[in-house]
Amino acid sequence: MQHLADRLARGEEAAFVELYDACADRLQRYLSLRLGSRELAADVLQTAMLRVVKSRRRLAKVDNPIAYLFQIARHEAARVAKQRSRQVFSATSPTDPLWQLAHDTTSQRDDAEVIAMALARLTAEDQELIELKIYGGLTFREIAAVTGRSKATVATRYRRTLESMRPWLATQFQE
Amino acid sequence: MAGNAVSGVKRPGRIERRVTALDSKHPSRKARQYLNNPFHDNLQPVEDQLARWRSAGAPAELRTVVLGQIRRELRAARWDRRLARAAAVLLTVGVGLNVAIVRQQEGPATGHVAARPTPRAIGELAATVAEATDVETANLFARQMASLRGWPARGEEATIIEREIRRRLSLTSGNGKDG
Repeated sequence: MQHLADRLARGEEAAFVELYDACADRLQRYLSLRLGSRELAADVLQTAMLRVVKSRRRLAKVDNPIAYLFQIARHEAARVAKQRSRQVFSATSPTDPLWQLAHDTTSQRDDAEVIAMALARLTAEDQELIELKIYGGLTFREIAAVTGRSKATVATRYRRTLESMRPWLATQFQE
Repeated sequence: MAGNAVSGVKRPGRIERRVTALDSKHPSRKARQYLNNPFHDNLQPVEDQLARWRSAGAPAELRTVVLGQIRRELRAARWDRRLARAAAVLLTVGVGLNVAIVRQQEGPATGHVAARPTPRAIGELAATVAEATDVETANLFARQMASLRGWPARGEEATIIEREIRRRLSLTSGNGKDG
């Protein structure tokens, strides 16, 4: 990872392509949940990548460029949400069309609705933790870097969040 | 939680002990395993259920747009560095010509006291060049400046110059942690 960071700091175009391909899809999913809109998520993703390019010299001192990109995107998403005067954590309403996207069958839409309701039951911090881990695909170390918490806190909190969700999800997904 | 039957003091539970161990400089193998796989109660099915929802990833056209912007930004930065290098070369040539003309007009430097620029002063000037271009160009500029002044920068003087360049660059780039 440090090798990629050094290449990015030197302004190597191929390194930025590598970074984009490694992060774009999961960043899009995470930002879609944060902002409640795929279009806004794409805009923020674009802004975050350009910001990384413009501050590329700093990457020489960054341990994990993926976590760095997520951190930038997270801040940008918060700024955009504030500008639009809406709660950042509003993307999990079951009626939000975001949850209906890319689902062809009724069964998939039902699953999406259940998951939206499950996430809506969490606190804002726990919800973001699930978004970063499952939909953003980040490791605990990366989540710790993005959120500014210790790795132990992130892991423990994640575990407890899943434990709290298990009974409810079990009843919803019962066949 | 297990307790001590004699003293009544509660012993920290398994999770608390492992999380505490992780705070130490050398966490135990069990503590590291906990971090790598905290699902001792098999919470994997819960993760799988949550992962059932997968929206589409980034739009394909976004890749073209973003990578195009990145390419233009990097290209513009390369041109900026080339222009700055050209400016540095012209500055060096200009200073060199001035020095040559002054020496020609004044003849041997008898009774003429000219203050030699210190390595630190050359380093400051080179650091400015480094901010606009890169370290390599700045070092080249510093060597040329030192040479024009009549002494090649080497040894301790070269170290002072390089240190000044790096000091200025580190102040400019910050700590790199801000997102």
